[in-house]
Amino acid sequence: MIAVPESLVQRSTASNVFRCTHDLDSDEIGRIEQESSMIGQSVEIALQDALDFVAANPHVFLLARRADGYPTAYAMMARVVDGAVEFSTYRASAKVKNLLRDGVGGITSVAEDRDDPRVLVASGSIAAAEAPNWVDEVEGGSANAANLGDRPAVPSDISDKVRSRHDSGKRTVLRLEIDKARFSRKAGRL
Amino acid sequence: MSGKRDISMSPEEIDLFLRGHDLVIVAGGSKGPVEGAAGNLLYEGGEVAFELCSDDPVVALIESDKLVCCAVEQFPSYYEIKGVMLHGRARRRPEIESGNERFAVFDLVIEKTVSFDFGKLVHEATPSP
Repeated sequence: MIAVPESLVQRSTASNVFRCTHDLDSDEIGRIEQESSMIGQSVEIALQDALDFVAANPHVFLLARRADGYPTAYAMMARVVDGAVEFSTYRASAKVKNLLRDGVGGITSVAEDRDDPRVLVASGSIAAAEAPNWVDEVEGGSANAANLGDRPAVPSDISDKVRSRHDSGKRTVLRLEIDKARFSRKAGRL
Repeated sequence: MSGKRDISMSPEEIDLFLRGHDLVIVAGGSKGPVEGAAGNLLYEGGEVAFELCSDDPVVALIESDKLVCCAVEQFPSYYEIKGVMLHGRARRRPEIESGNERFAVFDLVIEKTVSFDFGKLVHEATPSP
């Protein structure tokens, strides 16, 4: 659990911040604007809030640094397992090398609901983990796996291939243990 | 068929793709974990720029070393997944004020472009008539 004041956690997760303002009086609108401003200042949030957000919005960008120092972002599907965020990828891929080199990684996830301005920014330690049944757990919705949200359906032949690659050891699982998380907001002028 | 399939986009496809999107994930930071922000993509005439909320912590990270990755992606269905990652150096423009908000604006000097179009997996798998 990330230690943050309860008041900030409430502000960062208050769904009424984003509700339609048509029926609100000026005091309430002022309060909402103040809370929105807090989110703009990147309010730290509790680990569980971060994990819940990933579970509901599993399409995330996994952030790493390349060997030449450039930051890079990989669009990935994530799942939440036992208090951490997991990704399936090729063991020999550049992303595995980049992330394991530093031992730390970050994620950024935009809410799939376009009316929700929250953007999750989280980081922590990252390690490779063995999970031979990863695909089956995702598809079967194991007790530990979180809700997968509205991710695009993966064709069965692709699932079979991924499963086979896990079985053969060509694919591995990257596991991100979040130690810092905040909500930011989309920059929008519309 | 041998080796990995090339599912990258052509320059024309990248141009068309970027013209149709306005949300960009901007990654920055040269020390510790890389951090990301969601910004507005400003794309015109092949030139890429982006704007972020001026109080976003990623703005300071970008200003410290200029190195950024801009990622634009769509994922309506598996075979419609497309994405473009632009690596380069950011150059700060004057800040923009809109309503009560201030936006940090950066031009991107692109040094490397990576793209993918999962639709090409289907095309390559479909035999010609």
